[in-house]
Amino acid sequence: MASNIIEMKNLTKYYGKARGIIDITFNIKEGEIFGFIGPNGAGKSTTIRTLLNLIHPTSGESTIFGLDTTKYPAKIAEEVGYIPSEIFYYDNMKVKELLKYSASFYKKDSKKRMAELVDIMELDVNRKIRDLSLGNKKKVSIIQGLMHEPRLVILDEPTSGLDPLMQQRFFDLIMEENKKGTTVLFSSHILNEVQKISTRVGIVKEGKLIKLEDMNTLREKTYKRVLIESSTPIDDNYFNIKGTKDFKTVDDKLSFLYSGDINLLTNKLSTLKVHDLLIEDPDLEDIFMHYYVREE
Amino acid sequence: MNIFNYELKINLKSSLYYLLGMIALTSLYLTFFPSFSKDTSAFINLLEGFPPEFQNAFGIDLKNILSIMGFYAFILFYILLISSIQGMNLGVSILSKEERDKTADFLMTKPVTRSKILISKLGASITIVLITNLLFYLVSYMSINLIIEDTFSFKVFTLLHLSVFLVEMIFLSIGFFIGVFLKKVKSTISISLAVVFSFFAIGAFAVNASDDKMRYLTPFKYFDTNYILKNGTYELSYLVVGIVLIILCLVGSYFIYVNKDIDSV
Repeated sequence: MASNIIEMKNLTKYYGKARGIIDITFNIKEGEIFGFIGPNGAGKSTTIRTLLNLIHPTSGESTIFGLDTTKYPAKIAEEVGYIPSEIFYYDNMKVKELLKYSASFYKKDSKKRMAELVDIMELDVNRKIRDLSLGNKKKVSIIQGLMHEPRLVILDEPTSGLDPLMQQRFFDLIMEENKKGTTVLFSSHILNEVQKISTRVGIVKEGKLIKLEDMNTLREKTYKRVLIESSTPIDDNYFNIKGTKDFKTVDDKLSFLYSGDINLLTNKLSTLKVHDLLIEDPDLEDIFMHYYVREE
Repeated sequence: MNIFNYELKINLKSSLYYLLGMIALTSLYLTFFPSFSKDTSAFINLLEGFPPEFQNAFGIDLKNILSIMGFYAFILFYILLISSIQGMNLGVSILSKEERDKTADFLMTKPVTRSKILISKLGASITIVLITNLLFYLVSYMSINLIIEDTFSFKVFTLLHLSVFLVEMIFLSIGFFIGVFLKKVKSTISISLAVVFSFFAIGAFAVNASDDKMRYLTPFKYFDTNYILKNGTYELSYLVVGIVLIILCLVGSYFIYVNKDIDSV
């Protein structure tokens, strides 16, 4: 059985009296891509910043590679790559200077991997950091986070600012690293994004871990949000079929969550005069409201 | 050494501007000296027109100002102000800029301990202060020999310069201590100027106060130039207070920096 790369036990952080995270306990196994999801302000970044020793826990403990994160942060960092949500570097540096400076902290020679990543990310290393767009800064961040071939990659909302094509390339890169044995902790508030690559997810809400679940189990619960605009008056019980919940009616618009047989739904729809129809992935709020809160 | 080298590289340039300013000011003042010393009575008459408190506050000492070292001490009174601002600003900015520019996350997630970051930055700051002081010392020595024909005490000259270095070190340390508390301050120079001028103002009061203990309150008065000119040494108690202040500020900075939370950007 794979060993734990990250262990957290009752990890708690208060900022004065304000809640950061409360009693976070879970482990991440070697080789996993662990999705850490929750709405903004739920405590994802606090958890990550505590693991990285940027902030100090109020109580509880955490280890990475079996080492206490508060006692051996520099030792741990040798094999961790961190790609933050917001990127800030030394504005006066050129990209290549920043990457060289970053490489100078590691014992490994990372020149070769750096060159490969620069190619994959199509980045001009002769530009000044201050002249880069958000997307290009993100690329710099990805390269500096991966060039020393870390055993653990920590991603905090990593795709913001990347166009869809680059996002895909980034996910491919992460999957490729993962195949080589790299463990990934991936935090995001976008469920869809986490669904793409994670093997297991932890859901955090208001500072507490409310659920740990295999991605497969979560997929089985894939509800869709259905929005129907119709000129036919719809009876309240018309869509009362297996797999529907959370009915909302506003004027001639009806919305509900649906997880049943899609053919059953289309049959029902065919008898209505539909003006507009939208079937989409529910947002995280919907998931929390209807999958988890009611279950607990 | 990577942090040390980086900090040295980016901070040395602005320090050289301070150095050029100090050299220009010193050379300009020194060129006045030969004409003052030729017409001493007119010069003294002019200075006597100012109230004694004013003379004290501006570092004018009628007993010594006509000797080259006395005149030089008067110049250093202003050099001290410039070098203190330099030291203070270096200390305040070198740590706080990582949080102001939000680069702290980058630096602190690299395999380097916070104590090593602090020591590297402190080492770079001290090196910069040493380089500027040493260059200033050498250039001043050459210009004083070029402009002035009188002989002067090399020991007193060195002690005067060393006192400038020590006061700058005190301000660097105070700056370091202030810097660890600052999070998202926009302008470090305004903080540095405010602190240095406050101590300078305290110095102006201290020198006119009847109680000598007032001098302990400001590093500007730890090295009394009259005492150095007369005795060729420092006053031990003030020297000790200065060194203790440096140690306290640096040790305090260390413990705060190692244990502080780095706020999310």
